[in-house]
Amino acid sequence: MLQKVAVVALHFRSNIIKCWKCSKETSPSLFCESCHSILDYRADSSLSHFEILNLKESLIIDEDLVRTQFYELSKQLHPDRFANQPHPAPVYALRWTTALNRAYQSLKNREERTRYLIEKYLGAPTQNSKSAIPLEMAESYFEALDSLSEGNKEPLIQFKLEVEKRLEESGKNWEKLAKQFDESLNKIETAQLLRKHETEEKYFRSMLADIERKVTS
Amino acid sequence: MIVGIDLGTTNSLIGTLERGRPKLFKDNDGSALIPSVVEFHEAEGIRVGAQAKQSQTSNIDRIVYSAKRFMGRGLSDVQEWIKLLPFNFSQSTEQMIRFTVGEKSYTPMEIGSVVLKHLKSIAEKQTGETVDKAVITVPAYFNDAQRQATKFAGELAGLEVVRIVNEPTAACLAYGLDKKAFGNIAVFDLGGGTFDISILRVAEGVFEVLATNGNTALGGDDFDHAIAENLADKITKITGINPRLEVQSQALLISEAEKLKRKLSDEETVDWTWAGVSSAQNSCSFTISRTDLESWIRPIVEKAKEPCLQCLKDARLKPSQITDAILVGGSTRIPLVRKLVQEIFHREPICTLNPDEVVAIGAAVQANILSGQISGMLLLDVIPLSLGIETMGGVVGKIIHRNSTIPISASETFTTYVDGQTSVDIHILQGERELVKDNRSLSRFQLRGLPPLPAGIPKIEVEFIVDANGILNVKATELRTSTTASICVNPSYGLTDDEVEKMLFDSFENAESDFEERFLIEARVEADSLIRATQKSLIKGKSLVDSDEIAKIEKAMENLQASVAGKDRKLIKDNIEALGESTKHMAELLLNQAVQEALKGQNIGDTP
Repeated sequence: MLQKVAVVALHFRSNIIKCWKCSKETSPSLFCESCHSILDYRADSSLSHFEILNLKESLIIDEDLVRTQFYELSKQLHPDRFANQPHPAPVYALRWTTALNRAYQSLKNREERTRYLIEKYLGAPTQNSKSAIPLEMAESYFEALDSLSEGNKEPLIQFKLEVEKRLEESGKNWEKLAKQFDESLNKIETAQLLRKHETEEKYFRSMLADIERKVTS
Repeated sequence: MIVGIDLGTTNSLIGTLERGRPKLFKDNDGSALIPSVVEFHEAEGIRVGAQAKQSQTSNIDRIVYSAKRFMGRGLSDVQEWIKLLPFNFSQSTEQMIRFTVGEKSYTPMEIGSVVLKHLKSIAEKQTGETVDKAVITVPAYFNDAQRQATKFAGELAGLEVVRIVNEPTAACLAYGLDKKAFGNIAVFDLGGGTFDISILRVAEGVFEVLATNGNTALGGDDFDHAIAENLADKITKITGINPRLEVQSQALLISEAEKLKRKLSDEETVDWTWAGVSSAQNSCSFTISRTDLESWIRPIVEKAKEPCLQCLKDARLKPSQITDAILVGGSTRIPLVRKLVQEIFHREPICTLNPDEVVAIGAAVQANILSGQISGMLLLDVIPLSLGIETMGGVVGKIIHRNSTIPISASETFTTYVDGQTSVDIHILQGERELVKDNRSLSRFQLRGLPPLPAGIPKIEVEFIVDANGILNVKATELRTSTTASICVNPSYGLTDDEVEKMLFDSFENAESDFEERFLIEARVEADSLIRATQKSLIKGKSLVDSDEIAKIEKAMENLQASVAGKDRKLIKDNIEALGESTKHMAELLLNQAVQEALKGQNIGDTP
């Protein structure tokens, strides 16, 4: 079962603004404090994806909570709710929802959330970080492929088991690193460890998919 | 008035909600399933629906059906079906197909708009209201071009298309209206020409699509053709005459195959007779079992399996985590299809709502959500295919990934790779494959006026914006100079500007007749209510006037009744006036009587 979570005002960085509808002063949130009209989502407000969903930044997170927050906010902000209202309310709703959907997309599962946080602290991956491939694994893989081309599937099946084992270990390793990241004050250092881990895991995943294709064909 | 429309490959439906309950509008033959068949009849003009379908095997040259299969597609996309369908095709531009009928040729969008206009008029005739807005459904796996084409067909028919909704999602909403959907719902939708699988999470009134997959070229039509092929082989063996060689008998064979498919969904064996189209052909008969039929269609049914497994994977769910598997589309009546669904999702599939009607009902539900009539339900749909642009070496740089909740936007920054480059080509692609050549090319546009800088220095931000219909807009900006170019991708799919203009012009020309039709509807509604009122007052007024007068009134009523059936709006108006005139005296007497009774202390409202 889902648990309901009250959605409180978002933490914006700017101060008081004027409502477009009633011209009264309000703190910048989803709705005007006086007339309850939907306020504009400002792309330059630099809200993080966690802030948009009103969640505390954390790599280890209850994914049901992410979803509950997303549902609650969608119910309030979705353009379908504003389809009959005069301009600009539907446009504001669309902007909010577009931002909300992006935030949900990047936080709803482990891989995406890890990627988001790494890029938040380190920026986009460089060529250098892309090529961090464990050499000894690549070598055994090519050997197994050679056997396959000679008609012997067995080494590849054995190798597949090894890759699966590595992936399982990698999962446990992620939990350790994630905990370290969440507790750390030096996010950049721990994010670098995470990036190395993610690159490796991604490599094993695509290797496994490749093996599965080759074994079945 | 706002309606929901299921524009299908084989049949289309139009519906609304009446006091919260779904209502589908029926055509003259009493059926809500309106065949998506258009006949350009030499004498009678354009005919749509059941009437046109009757001519499907006789007036082959002037019939177009299954037009949805060609929506937003080019000739190269549809080589396979062209061989199977008895149409004459032509191609005006590289990406555009036309059906040639006699002297004229029509785009799939124009055929679609003819069907939509027919649906619109059915609803208008029955409600007396103008239908101006619609939610139209499309297969979830339709790409951007196919969605655009559908929306455009709606506009050509004079409808404001307020939302394009995915068919399986609509079906789930229909179950939701009945409070019959909760948990993780797999919607298996196998229609006449397309297959979709969608998995939704339904909780607290939110319908969140987790993942979707499918095949836009898999459906009941394919079963019919496979069955027809096998029947043809048998007939050739027995009679020595190949029925495929003649267009007429080929068409008859396909229609017989379709009937056989339906029969063998209920019965185990059928004694089947082939009479041919002319006496010159030898007839023959033989027995066909369900097992025979299943062996013919199994390879096609199996094609639905892989998309289902991929969809489960994308939704991050195991079959055991699925709460219910819902069946949608006429082809899910085939026992072999049900067996497959059961096998994949490990549970007996449900179809408590009519699988032919459930999509149109769902479209009506979404229409009511948008008009504010329903507030407890919210649909969060996804984009079915990833979107990206071509980068160095013919590789696709994905910008928005499939199964992202819409509306959504995302941007990536790119740069130049030649010194002094002043323009870049932006090539927009849709699909899951790594290489450009394996994906669908949606559009190309150019960002010009870049400052001549060394390679790698300019920063070009490409922003993709997908709206709630799943339709894409792209904007490219050079960040240093703020040079901007933007495009709404393929507003009319591969049509030249002249063609678009002509189509819109044609639709305006038709708008005049639409207007005339609207007046006609209004006149009919007025006539009907006047007749009812007259009948009511005659009961009481009969004793007040002489028989001559009554005869006159009855004659005027008869005249009006007769003119309502016709199309002459002016005649109806004249007859309304005549009837009003004939009852004037009686009405005065009735009024007097009512006043007197009121004076006696009786309430006018008490009179029957």
